[in-house]
Parts: sequence; structure tokens; C-alpha cells
Amino acid sequence: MNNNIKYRIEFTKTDRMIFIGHLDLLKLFQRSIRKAKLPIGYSWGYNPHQLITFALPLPLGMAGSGEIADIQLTRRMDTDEIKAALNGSLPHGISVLCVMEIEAGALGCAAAVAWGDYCVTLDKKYDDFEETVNNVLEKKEIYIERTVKKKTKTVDIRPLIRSIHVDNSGDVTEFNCNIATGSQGNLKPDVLIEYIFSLMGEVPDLLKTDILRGTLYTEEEGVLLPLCPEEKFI
Amino acid sequence: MLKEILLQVEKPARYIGNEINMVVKEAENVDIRFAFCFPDVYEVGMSHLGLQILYYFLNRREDVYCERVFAPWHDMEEKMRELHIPLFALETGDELKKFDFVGFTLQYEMSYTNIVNMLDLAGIPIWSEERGEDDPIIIAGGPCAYNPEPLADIIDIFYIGEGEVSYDELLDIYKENKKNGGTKEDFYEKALGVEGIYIPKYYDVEYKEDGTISRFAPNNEKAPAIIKKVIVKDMDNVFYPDKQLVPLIETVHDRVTLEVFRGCIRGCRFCQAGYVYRPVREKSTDRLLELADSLIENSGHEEISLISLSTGDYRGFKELAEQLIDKYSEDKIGISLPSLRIDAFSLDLMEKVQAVRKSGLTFAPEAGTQRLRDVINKGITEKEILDGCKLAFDGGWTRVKLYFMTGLPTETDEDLMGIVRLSDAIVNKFFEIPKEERKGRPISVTISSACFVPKPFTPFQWAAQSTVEEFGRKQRYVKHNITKKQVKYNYHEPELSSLEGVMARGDRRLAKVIVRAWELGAKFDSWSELFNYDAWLQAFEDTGVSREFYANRERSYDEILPWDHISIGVSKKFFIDEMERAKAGQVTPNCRRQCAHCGAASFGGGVCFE
Ligand code: SF4
Repeated sequence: MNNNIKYRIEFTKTDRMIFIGHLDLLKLFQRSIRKAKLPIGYSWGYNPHQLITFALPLPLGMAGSGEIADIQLTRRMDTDEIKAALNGSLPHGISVLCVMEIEAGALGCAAAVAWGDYCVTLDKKYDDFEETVNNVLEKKEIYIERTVKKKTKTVDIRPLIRSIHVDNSGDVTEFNCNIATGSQGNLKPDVLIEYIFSLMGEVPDLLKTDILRGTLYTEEEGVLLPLCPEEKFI
Repeated sequence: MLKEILLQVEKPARYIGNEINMVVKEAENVDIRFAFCFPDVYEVGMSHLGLQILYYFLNRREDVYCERVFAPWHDMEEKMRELHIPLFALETGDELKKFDFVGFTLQYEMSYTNIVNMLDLAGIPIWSEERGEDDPIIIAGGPCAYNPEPLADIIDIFYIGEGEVSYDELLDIYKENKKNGGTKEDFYEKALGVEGIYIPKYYDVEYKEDGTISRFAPNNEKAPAIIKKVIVKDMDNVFYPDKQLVPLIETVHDRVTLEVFRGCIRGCRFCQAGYVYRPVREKSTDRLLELADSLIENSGHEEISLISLSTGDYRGFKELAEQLIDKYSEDKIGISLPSLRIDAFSLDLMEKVQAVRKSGLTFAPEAGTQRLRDVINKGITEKEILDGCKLAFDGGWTRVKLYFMTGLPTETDEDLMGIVRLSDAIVNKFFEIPKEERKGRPISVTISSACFVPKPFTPFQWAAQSTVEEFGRKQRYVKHNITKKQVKYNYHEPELSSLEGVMARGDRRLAKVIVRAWELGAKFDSWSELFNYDAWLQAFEDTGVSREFYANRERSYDEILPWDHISIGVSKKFFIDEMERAKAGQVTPNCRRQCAHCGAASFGGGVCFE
């Protein structure tokens, strides 16, 4: 097909940058790549565009510390060099954490992503939050109503939750969770939070809730592997 | 708290700054903080070249930190008022009161209510005389500053001319004065000695019984009787940014802009820009190519646009365009060439640079008959338009857009009928192409008709503007006479143009109307969905100011005009001659063909000395 070299990029989207949407993020990357003078590959056709894909759009207002994109370059470059060039061009709030070369035939990030870590900070402390979560985790199935394209469906979200860990030691309630994040199955953290709150007989104030999406994973034979495994433990 | 409100408003990225090439400084470590305010939304303001130039020009000084402020959209304003968040600058998020200067750019008259609104949102008193030592100094410049009078009681200092010339001197004086513990008054008095600076409070105005001005004179001996605009003489050696702010959201013009020259050789008699920016001053092709390189390199934009009032008039145009295409087509960087005359060369060029979208072709005949085009000195003939269309149709273009104005001086129904005839002739031209070659492509001709607004510093500055009713009748007349289904007619709302007509030639008595209209809810007047005509009508009534006096009254040549103390370098005598020539239907050749001795040669540069 082509001789492009594929690279996977892990980056953050934090601070003021949480307020730009996905299409604007794409444009920002296109311009930063141009500014960084990376030998980016272009699609064929009448209206060629840069070969760049993102794993999964981050909702407006949510921060990300391990966002993933794949790019194709027309020649091989040192990964540190790519990282430095991009970081020299991107604005504050978006920084590239790691760049790795991936095999030509490897699954693209958008198809590969399946699970994600989220770190949620609620607006205040909820004393019965931990207990409620434990009840949730004990359930075998959780049916909730979801409205997709004006049709209401009842779905089981239990298989979409791998873990939830609550930390209620501080002034406000925090929890980490690992939930389905991808085209095969997807659970929005908002939906999970609303569900937990409904068990407590409350409605969450999502505008006052901070959500950070952490590492994104692919799944191979039941094992989770970070999409960009290099330099993971620093 | 900011996060919470930003998630509830449309396009939160309007309020976060943080773009590629944003200037970051420690606000505590500079001597002068300057808030550059654009009285419209972010997407409009960020598309404005003057902002990009002045932002980097001021920030090139280590002792100055220039930040940006835009008018918050009404959803954001509501939240800000509700939570008592004062208007803030994008770079540091600091409120405007902390700044030494709050500078407004006056691009169009109908942004004046937004200026009032922004001052109010910042917690700064609206009236100049009500502001104290601790309030920022409010300064304003831009094209509408050539008639500063409607804002004279609101703005402290007007800057008349091009920013690169006098700002350094002004800021040095300010810094020195601040260091010596001087008051605002001390600063103003010293600033009177800076070229291009107009400080309204040092001038008094008296009126006759009929409402016209009887006397306008300085009340301070240091204040110059005439304030002459300042302009850059040498365009090659003047500062121009080597980078541009790259917005994070789509703006009106999403591209880097290369300013090719200032001014216009043409002298269309309705066009204020054509006179106030005289004389034409060009950048050299070498300098432009060098700038293009650094702009693209430092911004990562995928499109570069050549900007001027009439790009095809650039003497090195062919060479510049060809070199840019050579250089950038491989990197997939588009080149946009607005305001080109349509001929074989420009069509060929457009073919090359705009291969992707064969969008519409644009002509601006402005008037429907040759007679009226001669009156307004618009040097384009019907033959040129039709020949251009023929070439375009052969080249595969099928959408034509025509710009006209109604209400021009001496206009009759015959001229209005000419608009229809010209559009019909274009459609007929298309059907002259053999059917096989048309390949079923549809033709469309869109007429866009604006309402003529007489502007200061044009030969038509004495003319009466049509009333809202007259405009309405004229528009209906044109519409009624269009029979071809391929011709579409769009027209501007006359109500807005009529208010613009009041503001453009207004005097100091209008400030109270502006503030009253704002109190009654007027803001974002140029946005049709927010335009509140009733508030304006009420404001005129409440203040007892007559709109007709300003908009619909013909002035005599000996009347003292509200902007007579401002000089753009073009003489009043020249404008009178031009007005007379207009009435006689005589055209005046452009600056390159034959100098008309307008007076602008006094600046000692540009086209007058080519
Ligand atoms: S002095 Fe002559 S050449 Fe110079 S701007 Fe006026 S008309 Fe044009």
C-alpha cells in the first residue's frame, strides 16, 4: 500500500485544553505536525489529508493523561526526535509523553482501544459512597436504560466495569475505575457516576465533578495491555 | 468556577487563549500592561490582521505585556454577570482594571455598544470624565477613529493612523511619567506632543441653532488644532510579525495573512478605506517571500492569504503569485487571493491555487449602469465583467456573485434596473455556450446588495443617505424586476445601514444615544439575530437626537464637519473637486495612471513618488 512508518503517540490533554473539542484537537495536531516539520504522510485522492488517527475522542471538559494517536511518517525518525519536535510546537496543556514505532500491520489505535482508566473527583465527600460501590461490584448484572438516537434500550453495564477503587480519605470523594472504552463496548463515566448516585438516592453535579482519563488499553486474550506501553512506570 | 461556566457556554475555547504563538510573560515584571480589546467575538477578532500585527508589535518590547480581550457572547456574559466575574484578558485571566491601557480597535461603527458593554463588564466607568487615577487609560484606533467624535466622551485618547509609528513614543512617555509619580493629566499633556494623538477633552465644540457646528477649537495651548494621521513610509523596514496566533477553534479567516501593501490606487468615491490609507505603499517581493516563509514555518497553517485592498494592483503581483505557488504547492499549502480582478491571468492563477473548490467568482460593479459607475469612479465596465464571466464559464466556473449598492448619490430607477439587466446579461452569456459544452451544469448569479452609507473622508461625505423607507422601496423595485430564475437577490437590512449612517458622520452628541441604546439592551448590533432596532429607536427618542440630521441631510461645503480637526493628508479641496466631478459623471484616473494631487504626497513616500 505505502511505505509509511507508523508511530503511536501518547499525550496529555489538560488545563485549558480540556475546552477544545475533538475536531479542533485534530486541526491543532495537523498544524503542530506541520510546524514541527515532521515528514507526515498524506492520504491519496482529491483532497489529501494527513495520516493521523485518534484512539477515541475525549469529551469536552474531561482531561486526559494518556491519550493516544497514530501517525504515519514517510521516513523513519528517532522517536525521541519526534517527541521533542511535537512538544516544541504544541501549546501548553498538550504534551507528548511517549512515541513508539508500531508494526506496519498492527491494529490501529481506534480499533484496538477497549478499556480505559478514569480518575474521578466528586464535588464533596459522600460517606456511603464506598459501600454503594461495593454493592455495585457484587452484582452479576446491572440493567440500566440508555437512550441512543431517541430510542431507549435496556442494557447490562456490569460487563463494562472491570474495577472501581474508592478513596474516601480526603475532603472529597475520589475513585478510580477501569471501564469499557472503545468501539466494541463503551461506558461513559458520567453514566456510571449517575448510576452509583441513583443507588444513593442522589443526583451528581457533573459540572463540579473532575474526570481524568488515564491509560487506555487494548485487550489480548483477556489480558489488558497499555496501547502505548513504553515508559509506563515513570 | 471558571470550568463550570465554560462547560455551559457555546464554544468555550473563545475564552481560554493558549493558542500556538501566544505570548507569555510575567505580568509583574513589565512596566506597562496593555489590554487589546476587539469589540466583537473571538472568531471575528482573531481574523483581524491589525490585531495580529499590533499584538506582536507591542509585545516585542520587554517592558510591555499586551494581552487580548474579546466581547463575550451573550451566553457567557450572562454567566459572568450572574457570578460577578469581571471581563478578563485571555493571556493571564486578569481583569481589565489591572491594566495600564485598555485599547479598543474601531473596525465598524456598529460595534460601539459592545465597547460600552465591555467597559461595564470590566467594572470601568463608561464616561471618560468619571474615571479616576486608578482606572486604566482607554485608548482607541482603527478606521472608525478617523471620525472619533461619537465616542469622544467615552474614549480618553484616540490614536489616528498606523500603530507602528507613534506607540513607542507614547508608551515611553507613559512609563517615564509613571516612574516619576505623575498623574494621568500629566501624561495626557505630554501625550499632546505625540504625532497622531487626539485627546478629545482638550477641545471644545459649540453648535449653531440649526444643530451644525459653529466652532471647534482646542482649550489647551499644547493641543494641536489639526491632528494629522501617522503612517508608515517604508513598508519593507517596518516591523511585521514573523508568526501569527493560531486559534484553537475555527475563525472567520483561518489562515496566515501576508499584507502586500497598504492603501489603494483606485479612488472609488464611496470607499473610505481607499482614502484614509493613502498613499499606496508596497512591500517588496523579496520581503514578502521572506515573510511568507517565516509565517508558514512558525504557525503550521495550511493556507496563506495575500491581503490588501486590491491585490491585483500590486506591481510585483505576477512574480509573487507564481513564486508562492512554486514554493508551497508541494507542501499542500493553499494560497488565497481575495479581491482579484477577473481576467485570463487571475483565472489561470485561481485554477492553480484553488483546484479543490471551484467556488464562486466575485465581481463588484457596485452600480448597475455605466453612468452611475462613473459617478462613483468604479473603473469596471460591463464588457470587462461579461468578458470575465465568459472566461470563467469556459474554465468551468458556474457561480457568479455580484456586489452592488443601492442609494448611491444621483441614483435613479434606471440604475436599479441596470442591476437586473447586468445579471440577465451574465445568464445569457452562459447560455451562449453550446449546450453540449454546458454538460447540464447549472448557472447561478447571486446579487448581493448593500445599502450605501456616506462616510467621512470621501467625496460623498456631504451626501444625504437614503432613508430606511427609500432603501426598502429600492430593494423591492429590484426584486420585483428580476424574472430569471437563475438570479438570486440578497439584500442587507436597511435599518442597520441607516444607524451606521448616523454613527459614521456623527458628532459628540451621539455618545448619549449609544449609551442609552446599550442601557436598553443593544449590543452585537452587527449580528442580525441580536440586532435590537427598537432599542435604538427608543434611544433616539429618549435623548431627543434626530437621526435624520445625521443620516439623511445633505451638507453644504462650508459646514464645519465633526471630523474637520482630523487630517488624513487628503485635502478637503480635493474631495470637493471629486464630488463635483462625480455630479458631472467624470471619472478620475487611478494614482498610477495619473496623479490627481489629492494631497497625500505630503507624507513623502509611496505611490506618489514611484
Ligand atoms: S498625491 Fe497623487 S499619487 Fe499620491 S495618493 Fe494622491 S492622487 Fe495618488
